[in-house]
Amino acid sequence: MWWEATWIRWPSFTASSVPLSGVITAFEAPGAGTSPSGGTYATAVNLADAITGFYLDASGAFRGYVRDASGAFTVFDAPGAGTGAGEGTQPTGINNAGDITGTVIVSSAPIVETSFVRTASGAITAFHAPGGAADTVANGINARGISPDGSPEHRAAASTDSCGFHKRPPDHISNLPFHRISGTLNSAS
Amino acid sequence: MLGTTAAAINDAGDVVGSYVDTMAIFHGFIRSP
Repeated sequence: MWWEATWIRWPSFTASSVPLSGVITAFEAPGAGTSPSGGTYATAVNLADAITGFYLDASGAFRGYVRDASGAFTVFDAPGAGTGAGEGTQPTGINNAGDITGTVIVSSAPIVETSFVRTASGAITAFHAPGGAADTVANGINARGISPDGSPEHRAAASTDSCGFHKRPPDHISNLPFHRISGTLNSAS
Repeated sequence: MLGTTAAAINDAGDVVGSYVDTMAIFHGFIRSP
């Protein structure tokens, strides 16, 4: 078959043989743990090269951060964030105004999640999706604010709007999209 | 587990993500075009 012959002719690649390009800068958040699976995770970047993400501290808890273009870090914890292993603050999106959205893991056993928006000035507001569900996962804001199904009507529009989904209890399988516009929460479906 | 995971890109083409080293510790990175 043609694809078999094509595959045979292709050279084999290893990670070290993949051509690299671009300028890559590595960084560590202050306080990041150094145990296996610990360290610094980057999840989003805006046009000003402000980066948000989280790190695992020495207790195994998630701590949110924003790193500006000069490399300065600001660490933050959303209200209600747990402090045990597997709990804490996980930023997932940042817009060009510096507003950040993400998930708060209140408890890891049982898992209880909610969401937050942090303005560029540092004010953090936690929120739940409609229906009173505690398990709310925000995964986008503005330019990255696309709900899991990618539908345009689920795209966030204003500066601090966000969207995501909440997990329908009790099975946590059927996720229900939502969007939050100007502080008002709406079910997206 | 070694490797690099890209998580997001901005309108200027800068990519951020994480990689894991030989000690299984994660590090953030930014790649500019």
